[in-house]
Amino acid sequence: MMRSPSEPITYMEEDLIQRSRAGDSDAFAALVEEHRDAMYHLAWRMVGSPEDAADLVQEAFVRAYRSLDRFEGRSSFRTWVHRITVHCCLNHLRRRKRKGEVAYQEEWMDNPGYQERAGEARLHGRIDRPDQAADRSDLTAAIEGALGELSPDHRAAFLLREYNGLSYKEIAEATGVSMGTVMSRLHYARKALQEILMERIPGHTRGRERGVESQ
Amino acid sequence: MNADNEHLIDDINGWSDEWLIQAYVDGQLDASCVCRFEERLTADPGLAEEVGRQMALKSLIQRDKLAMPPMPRIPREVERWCALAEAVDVAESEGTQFDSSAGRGFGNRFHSFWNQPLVQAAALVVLVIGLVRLYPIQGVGDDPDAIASTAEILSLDLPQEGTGAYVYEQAESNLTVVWVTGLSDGGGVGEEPES
Repeated sequence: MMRSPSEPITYMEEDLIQRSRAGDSDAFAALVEEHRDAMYHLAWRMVGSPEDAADLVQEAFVRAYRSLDRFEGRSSFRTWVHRITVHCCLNHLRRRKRKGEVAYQEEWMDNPGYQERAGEARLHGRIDRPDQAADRSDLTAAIEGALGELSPDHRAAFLLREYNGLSYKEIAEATGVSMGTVMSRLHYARKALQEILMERIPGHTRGRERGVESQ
Repeated sequence: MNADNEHLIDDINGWSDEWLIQAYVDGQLDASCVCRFEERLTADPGLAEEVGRQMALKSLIQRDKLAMPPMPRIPREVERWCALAEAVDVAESEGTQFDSSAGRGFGNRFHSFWNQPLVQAAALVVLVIGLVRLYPIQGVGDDPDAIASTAEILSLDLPQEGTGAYVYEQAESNLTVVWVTGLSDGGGVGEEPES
């Protein structure tokens, strides 16, 4: 079901968009189904909280549904929905900052909602042996913490590339900046993450051998 | 390496090594640029080492990505989203304010419900009534249990399982109270003046 990020709008997708515009919620549900998990992961890593991420995905899709008439198909539907989700996440982070709340939640690992869903993922075979799971949770916590130290703009560029697989051009469209800016943000984000993760996960990201072997 | 051909970069003139490495590990270069860059990689160990570091970071991120659970499914949620979107449209067209929190997820609805002062006050009253019913307020009097609860335990002697002698000192009466448990009659109390 998953398409290449930059695949042009298919006849089927165009049909679903047309039907959604006419108020067909089943057609819109089909569009949502294809992108919801990717948006959820993006939002989760953007704001650091699975609950807020679920709310933000809802907000993004509600906005998308309301704006379908304005979608002209110049970019793919996927890029367009990414753009809306990034916008919602950045707004959310700004609101939090204005309220004096923690801008990025790092306590998500203790969150019962996360543990529940991690258990669900384990059931589906997406999390493996307990020793590997423990290793992974350490890794995940380290990555989550490191991402929290990036600025929202750098984080967005990095996540869109690494987690959502958008091309540089699509990231530029989704974030409303030039490709040069995208590349600068990616470069900065990667350098910062490498430094942070080297401190937090000794042995990782240090050498070529280990990295290539683990591919 | 999943970029569509349409988006591959075919002109890298004037690019810094940092940008080249990044575009290479991201699979954003077209075939000819990849060939040119790989020739440089074989000749430049420093460059190759940096590529290795970037690949290692990508590998870590992939592991994290694969561990992320899918978004929880709620029955008929998209229908509700569509209804919400239409309600917002109607509210906007009528020039009225729409409460955006009304359609938000359970977490926020729960949060906003408990944030109301009246709800908090009512919950507090119910809690207090419940506690009073469970633990009726009574004076200490001569009730050994009550005395024990307000007194300092001086010693605890448990000669055998299920029996024991607790020695308390009650601050108010200056009495030492001995409360023996586990006796056949269900327990007994002995009081003696403080020596």
